[in-house]
Amino acid sequence: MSTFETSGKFFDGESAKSNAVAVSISPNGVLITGEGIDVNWPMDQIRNLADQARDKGMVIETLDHTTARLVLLDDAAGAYMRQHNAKLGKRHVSSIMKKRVAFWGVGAMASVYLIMFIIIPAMANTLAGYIPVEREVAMGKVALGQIEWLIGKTSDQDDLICQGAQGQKALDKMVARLTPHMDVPYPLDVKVYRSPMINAFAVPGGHVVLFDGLLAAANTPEEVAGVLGHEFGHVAHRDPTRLSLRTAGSAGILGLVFGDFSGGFAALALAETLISASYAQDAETNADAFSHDLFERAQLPSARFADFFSNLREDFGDQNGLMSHIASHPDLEGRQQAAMKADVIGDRTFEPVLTSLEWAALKRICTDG
Amino acid sequence: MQDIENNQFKVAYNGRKGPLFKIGLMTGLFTLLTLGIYRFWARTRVRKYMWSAIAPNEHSLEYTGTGLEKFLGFLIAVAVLAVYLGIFQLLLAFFGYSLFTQAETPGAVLVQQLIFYLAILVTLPLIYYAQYRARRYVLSRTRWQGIRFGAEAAAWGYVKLALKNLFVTVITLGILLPRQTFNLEKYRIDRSWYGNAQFAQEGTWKMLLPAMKQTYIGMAITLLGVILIGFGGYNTYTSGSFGDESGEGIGSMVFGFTVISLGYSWWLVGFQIYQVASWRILANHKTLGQAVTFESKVDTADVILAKVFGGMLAGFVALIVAAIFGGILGFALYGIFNSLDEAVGPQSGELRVALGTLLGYIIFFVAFGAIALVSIAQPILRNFASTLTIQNADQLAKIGQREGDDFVEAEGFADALDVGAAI
Repeated sequence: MSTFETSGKFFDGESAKSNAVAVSISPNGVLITGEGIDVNWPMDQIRNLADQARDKGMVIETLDHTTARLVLLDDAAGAYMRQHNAKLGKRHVSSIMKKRVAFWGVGAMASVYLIMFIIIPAMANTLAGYIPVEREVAMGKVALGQIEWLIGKTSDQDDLICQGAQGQKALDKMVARLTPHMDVPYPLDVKVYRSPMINAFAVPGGHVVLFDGLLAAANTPEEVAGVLGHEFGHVAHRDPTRLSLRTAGSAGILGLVFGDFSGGFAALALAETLISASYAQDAETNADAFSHDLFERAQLPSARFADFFSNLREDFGDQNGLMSHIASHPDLEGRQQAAMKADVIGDRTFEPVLTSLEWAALKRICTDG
Repeated sequence: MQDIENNQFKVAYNGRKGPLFKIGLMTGLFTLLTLGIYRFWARTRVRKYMWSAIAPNEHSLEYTGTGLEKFLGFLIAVAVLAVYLGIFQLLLAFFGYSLFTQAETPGAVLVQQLIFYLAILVTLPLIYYAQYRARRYVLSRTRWQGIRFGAEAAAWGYVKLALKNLFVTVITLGILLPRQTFNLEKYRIDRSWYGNAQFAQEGTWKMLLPAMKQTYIGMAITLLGVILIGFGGYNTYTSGSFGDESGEGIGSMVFGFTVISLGYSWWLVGFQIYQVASWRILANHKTLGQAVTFESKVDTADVILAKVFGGMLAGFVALIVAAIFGGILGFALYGIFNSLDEAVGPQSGELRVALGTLLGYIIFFVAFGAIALVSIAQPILRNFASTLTIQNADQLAKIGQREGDDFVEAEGFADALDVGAAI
């Protein structure tokens, strides 16, 4: 059998002394001999050290005696080792290590679940009630300012807020039709943004915003009133405040789990979307129910609100499955059916929210004035 | 290199740019692809390379920590800290919201800051605890010539000492910082071992005073600026109105602010100098096993220049890389963007901006991370290592092995609190 003879430095793992040794490598193992040293390492037990800053040679160890080290000084010795030991780069993981990782892995997941989905939501719901109303209003103003700046930046709109006088009058009438039937701690502030997005949102403190794109997509004023009722529901339930408290609490956890940036950053963004969406689903369903209730009290048919969802479905398709989780709002079909079911007016006549002239003015709120 | 005549070992630094950059880039990409989970293995591989590049007497250091160990530490930290951190952040947000949205009066600013500092104060003991434990973990995973380094289990004593010293430093406005530096280093070093030989930090804190020279000058200039502003304010106040024609008070206030910014810049550079100079002085007063001593000739200017130019280089190159690859990816994704228009409607304008920004951001940080390893971290390490010599080196051969330190939670807590080592 061919052997490879070379020299090396040997550290016995007992003292810091460096020993010059003769090394004889065969496919069976490595024989190390020197002054008072006569060691035989079986080949299948030998591993090399990875990621070493050395231009030539190799440092090897044996699994039987993990403190001893042999430094092979020339490249040919390293090449010989690689050729005769397929396990050279294989890392050994002890069974106790595997057990520990499994145990603490379960512990970590349980802990994250407990805080994210039980403790934080419960605390946020309770604490939201203790924030003074005037603070919430001021907080909302700051948030709204930031949102306006952001939308203005990305859509190149200088005058974001639509101010058509006739349209504003119609909007005020619509708000007045709904508000007598609800109990909110703040003054309501409703405006329209010049943006093609089909969307609406509420920020803490009673600020509600409709997008021009939503007005364009709606066929009747009742559809818009339904959306408005939904946003009023968020306001009445203090959802924006509860959600921002939850987000603040969970942001720290997500940072802890995913680290700071690069890969962590991408995961962080995705996880945050999913988490806040799952928090929000309940809130959305409740806001819809609030809107249905408002319609009943204001003697309006919520079937008209349902029309809004069927229009959207026709134009853009339903968002089922994964998308509806990411999109935070429940699927359109479900919302449409819920609105239909809640209708108490049926075929009876009702007083429309707006006259056709007022409705036309509201649709023009961003082009007038 | 061995200098037998003087009985001393020189420390060499054998790291190269190519292999380290490759490790940095591959592990960075892998971290990205695994959504951050690979970061523990990434950090470990970089350490293995850097440790093995440091070679006293041409024998490399060895880092024996593993990525799995760090991952386990992370799991333990999450299990223990998740509930604490979540509640803590939520309460912080609650008090922030219920007290002030935007601090409008100086009083509100003060209270807001107080709450912020109080929050840090609550976390401070945990931070010091985590830092000591992290250092103990890294030492226990470091070997040279087959012999383990190690540190004693003494984290709570460290917390107490650190808090006391920090208090003294804060109430003396930073003047007694050398006292804090020395006391903490002495605590750590006196409990550190190489094999069965114990390290010791000799000297007193006063020997660090010369290293503080530029920092003190920066502080004095800042103080002068504060005094000038005080005088300006007083003059303006006594002369009755800001519309005062002489404008004396306002002039001296503007001058005062200029002086403060000069003092602050001076202080910033001075503090960098202090960090290197104090390291050198402390190294020159360390002993191992009561016989081996050390001599560092590390040059403050070299280290600071490496930091500044290395940082600029990394930022510049990473920006170019992000622009080029961001552009290529943007082109490749053009089709996706177009189908986005059909699927989501006109909203995709915002999505394009968001996605583009996210891509550029991610590419920039992966590139910066890899380049910074070779342009900042490695040059600095090379400066510190290659200027160090070990005296009475023949005594080292007498040192024997020490017991291994089974350290289950690794650096989990330090990583979780973001107070871990830079490398």
